[in-house]
Amino acid sequence: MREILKELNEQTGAVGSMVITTDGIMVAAALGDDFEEDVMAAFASSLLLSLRRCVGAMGKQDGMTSCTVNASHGKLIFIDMDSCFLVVVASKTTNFQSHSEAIKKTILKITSRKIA
Amino acid sequence: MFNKLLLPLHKALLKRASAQHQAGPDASSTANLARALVRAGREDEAFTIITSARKSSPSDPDIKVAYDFVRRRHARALLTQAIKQLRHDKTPRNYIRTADLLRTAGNHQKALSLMDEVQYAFPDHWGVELSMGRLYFTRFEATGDPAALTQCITHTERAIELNPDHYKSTFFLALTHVRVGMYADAHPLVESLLAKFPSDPRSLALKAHVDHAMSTKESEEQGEPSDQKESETHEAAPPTNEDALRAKQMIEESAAKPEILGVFVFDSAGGLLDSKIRESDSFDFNSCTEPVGYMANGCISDANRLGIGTLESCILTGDQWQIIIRNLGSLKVVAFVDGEEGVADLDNVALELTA
Repeated sequence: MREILKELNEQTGAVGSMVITTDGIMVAAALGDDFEEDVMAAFASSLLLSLRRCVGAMGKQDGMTSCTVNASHGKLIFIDMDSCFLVVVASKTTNFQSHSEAIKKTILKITSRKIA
Repeated sequence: MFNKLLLPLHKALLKRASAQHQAGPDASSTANLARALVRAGREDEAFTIITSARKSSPSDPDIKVAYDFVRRRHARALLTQAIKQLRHDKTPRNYIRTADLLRTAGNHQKALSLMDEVQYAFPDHWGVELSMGRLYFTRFEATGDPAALTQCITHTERAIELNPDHYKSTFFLALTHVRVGMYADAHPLVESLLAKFPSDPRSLALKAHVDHAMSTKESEEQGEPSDQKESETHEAAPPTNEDALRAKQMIEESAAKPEILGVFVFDSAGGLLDSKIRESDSFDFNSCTEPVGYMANGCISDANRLGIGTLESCILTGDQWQIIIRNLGSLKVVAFVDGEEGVADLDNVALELTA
């Protein structure tokens, strides 16, 4: 799975990517040297879990399909893959929309790999 | 006898696994090869392969499962030799090695009785105490028995008392506390590790985890949205008339857009300046204080911890709906948008709204 994530990073120019379960446990990660994997996973999953809880409290129990976080030095996107989330960390200038095909292919690879 | 009969089959399976691995050496084929090697009686090779794979893909679930399997079988293979060695030379080291192998192979009871024996013979040996701590932790994980956890902590604390400079004992105790949610007990241990090894990446990662868990727990106990307390400690400027006017203007503008079902404008200290909710079945605004408060305040602090700078916006998307959080410096806005009118334009709506 790490190889799939590395490939996604190369295709999209992302700084890193990872897969975390819906309850916040990291499954696989391919993050750059600037990030400590465990720390990044802990903070990303904490943010994701809190947001999902809030969304549920607002009557959207079926959950969110994606979440894009834009910050002053970079951006991050969480994409629902049913039992887990794909997390992509990118620079501020990255346009996720233009890489949607690469992201979709990655999700397909990960989900079909899980079934196999 | 039965194993001997199956050997040709295992050899054939090993040949196939080996060919698959050579054709495409990924995590799944490596895990299969390691398992096939074990079944063919080549535990040492399997252990080398899977240990190396675990280093390069520590979180891969296939590798994790295969690693546990290979480790158990490898321990069983080494156990006979270790028992022979222990009979020949009854040193604490040989006792610990045999007990560790028994634990890894899944024979906790035998490992415990062996450790009771060595503890009687060497009552003040730190290695024996640490090994007992590990053994009781494995037992706690397997059974959930709180008495096993107490024993684990007692023995590991004794190991640290006997050898205070041993990194692994302190780290193991800290990790044990973290695993059972005793963050306040883990905190001083991690601090003591960092005092001795300031740039140790494992201790730094554990500290970040403990600090975050403690602040979340504290906020939850006080019934506050996560990190509201943190934002309160900042010297937030009181809202100015200009902020109040901007907030009012945003609310008025949102009234002209039917797709916007709710808008909440907060000041920099996290206080609600103004809000407007439209009658809707889409979002439940009846008990929205806590979730909206988190979105405006806690979410921004949590995002800041990710190491990508200060949060500017956060867009949550679902089936025909979006929630848009924007940090405008002195104001924070949370907007709830219905997607029936067209999800593609929603971000533009949010941009217009908060421009």
